[in-house]
Amino acid sequence: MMNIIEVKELTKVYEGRKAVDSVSFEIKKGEAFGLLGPNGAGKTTTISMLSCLIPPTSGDAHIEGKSIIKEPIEVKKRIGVVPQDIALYPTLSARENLFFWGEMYGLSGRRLKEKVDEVLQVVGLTERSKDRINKYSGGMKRRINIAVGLLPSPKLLILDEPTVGVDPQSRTNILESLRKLNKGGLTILYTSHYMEEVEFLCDRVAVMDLGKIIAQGTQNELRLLAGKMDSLKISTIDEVQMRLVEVIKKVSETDEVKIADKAIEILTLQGRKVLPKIIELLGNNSIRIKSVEVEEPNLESLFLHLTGKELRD
Amino acid sequence: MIKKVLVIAFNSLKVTFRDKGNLIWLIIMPIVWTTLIGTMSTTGGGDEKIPVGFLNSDRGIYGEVFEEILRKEESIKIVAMAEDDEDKMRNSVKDTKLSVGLIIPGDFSEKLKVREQVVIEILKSQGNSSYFLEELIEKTAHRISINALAANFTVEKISERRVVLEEEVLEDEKERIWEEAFVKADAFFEPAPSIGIEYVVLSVEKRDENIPIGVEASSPGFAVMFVMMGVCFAGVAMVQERHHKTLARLLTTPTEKFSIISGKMLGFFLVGFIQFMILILFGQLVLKVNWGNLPLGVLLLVVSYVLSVTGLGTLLSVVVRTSAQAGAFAVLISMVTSMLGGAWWPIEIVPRFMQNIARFTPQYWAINGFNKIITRGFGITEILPNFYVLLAISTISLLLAIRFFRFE
Ligand SMILES: Nc1ncnc2c1ncn2[C@@H]1O[C@H](COP(=O)(O)OP(=O)(O)O)[C@@H](O)[C@H]1O
Ligand SMILES: [Mg+2]
Repeated sequence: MMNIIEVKELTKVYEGRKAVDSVSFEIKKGEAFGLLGPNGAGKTTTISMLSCLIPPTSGDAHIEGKSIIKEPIEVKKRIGVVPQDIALYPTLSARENLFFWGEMYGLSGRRLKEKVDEVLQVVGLTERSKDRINKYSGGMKRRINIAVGLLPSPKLLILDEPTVGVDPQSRTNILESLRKLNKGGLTILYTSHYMEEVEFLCDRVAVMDLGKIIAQGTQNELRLLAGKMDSLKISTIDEVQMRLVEVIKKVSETDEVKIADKAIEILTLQGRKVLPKIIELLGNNSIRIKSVEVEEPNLESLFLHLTGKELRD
Repeated sequence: MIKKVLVIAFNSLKVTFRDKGNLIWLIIMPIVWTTLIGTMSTTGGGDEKIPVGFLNSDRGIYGEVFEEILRKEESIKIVAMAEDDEDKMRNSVKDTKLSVGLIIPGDFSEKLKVREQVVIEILKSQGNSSYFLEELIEKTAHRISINALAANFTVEKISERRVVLEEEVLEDEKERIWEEAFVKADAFFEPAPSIGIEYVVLSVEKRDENIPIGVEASSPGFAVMFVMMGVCFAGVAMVQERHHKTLARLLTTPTEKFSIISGKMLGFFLVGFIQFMILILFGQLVLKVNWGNLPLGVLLLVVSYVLSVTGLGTLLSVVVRTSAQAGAFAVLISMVTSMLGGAWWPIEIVPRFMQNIARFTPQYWAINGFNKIITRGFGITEILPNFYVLLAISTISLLLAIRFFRFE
């Protein structure tokens, strides 16, 4: 399949420090690509270069073959950008904002009006469209912020942490609309420091830290990278006798078993397969179970694994 | 490209005028200030009578009659001068202490009696055009000339009678004589002794001496000040735009940088231009300030002045970081430069060195130009120097503004 965007060794140096360090990736047509990383990783700087806001120190990127350095206007015609900040006129209504930005994207007349109605529909704010932006809740502002990026019917929609400061319900709302747009064929570049968002939306993910991409691939590929162990945590009402350790090890095909008087912790390759057997074993020994926790490796643990630090700090 | 420039400018205009605080500062405040301060200073100066110097050398009575008639006029004040004070009167007229000076010659009555042409002199200063006063004097002269005619005729008639009849004149006869005199006077009109009026225009070294007062001063003065403030407030709005990141977002759309900068500046310009037009209309229609004397001149000055403050306002918005700072600077800079430039009081009354400082403000050139039009009734050629200076200020400030324009 065709690549919409190809990023090659993109680098940005600020005062001798590499804010973005030789970043490369491609996004195929129709894909949702995630750029995951903590604050200060260099996500916004990367996106600012891709949307031709700042020139790269070195490297280049092409969008549908157009260079961000040589043909910025051609690049801008192909992308919709949703910046990290709510970049709207607060004293104008949502509709007035959309009309203005639509004209800036080169739309006019009936086409402009249709497009405005369409994006309002997509973000579900048709009814409130005559209200001023400064009367909106944070989540609604975010939705209009996204709607502006959709106006030009872009080949690629670039979103920079579009859910920051939004209540959980609006966040789900936004993510679901984006997923729907993606399923409808829209190519998306999505940055976030929320692991769950990227897991929910993106086919492929690049994990970024300190300006570098430290891992890249499909979600499953990355899980494998994180190590194959699932973790099972079982707490019990009755005491677990130490003599059971060997049996549990045998059943769960692993040596990584720890027992503390009313808890068992198991690290295994196949958590889901092992769990029923353990429960059966405990039942046979008249040990009642209080709770069971299964943890499969995710991007969070991948990040921890790769950098030794939490994603969200 | 042009279309996007216009869309950006119009949007800027919309954002500026939607802000209620801006509306108060841009339109309401200047109207209130112009009216209050303008009418306050007129009640001081406007009630004063026009001073008219009167130098009477006439050996007969007609000169005195002339003076008496003028003294009955409410709007003027006669300042009687001694016969040898002609030089003093000339100087007073030059210094505008006297509006005009009248000189009645020594043979005024004699010549009127023998129906000879007689000339009175009116001294006036250059640039001073009190048509009302000139008309008043001409009318009075005319009246005296006819009086003289009638009187001559009557005296003539009565003496004839006395010679022939050597008897008393009867009451009803007197009436008949009067009637006859009246009709005859009309007939005698042709060879009537005329009083010629000769205007002596005294040249004044500083021809701009005519100081505007009242609303004539406050209407252009405060318009100029508040327009600068208005344009600077549009600059404040752009500082906010930088904070709201809308300015940077414009760069993510397929729009040329130069279109964005021009659009923004055109927006500032339109804010100032519209504001100025509203204030001029108010001055003309409500305060009866004579803005309409020279529409082309007013337009040239308004355009060049608003352009120059557009450059300055953009520079302000580029230099300043926060919108609170920008707001404070907008008020401070507009007030101070306007005071220096002569928006608050006539520049003519401040010391020489302050007048020189004033020349560095665009306000000075605009106000000076408007005064030339409104108060002194000058033509377009006199306005052009002001226009050129303002254009020069505009060019420099706009180029600097473009050079240092920031999106973030
Ligand atoms: N204009 C700038 N000047 C100097 N340093 C900058 C600038 N913009 C970003 N940085 C630095 O670059 C790094 C990456 O920032 P950013 O791209 O905003 O990260 P993210 O979006 O992932 O949170 C940070 O350390 C930040 O301080
Ligand atoms: Mg960021």
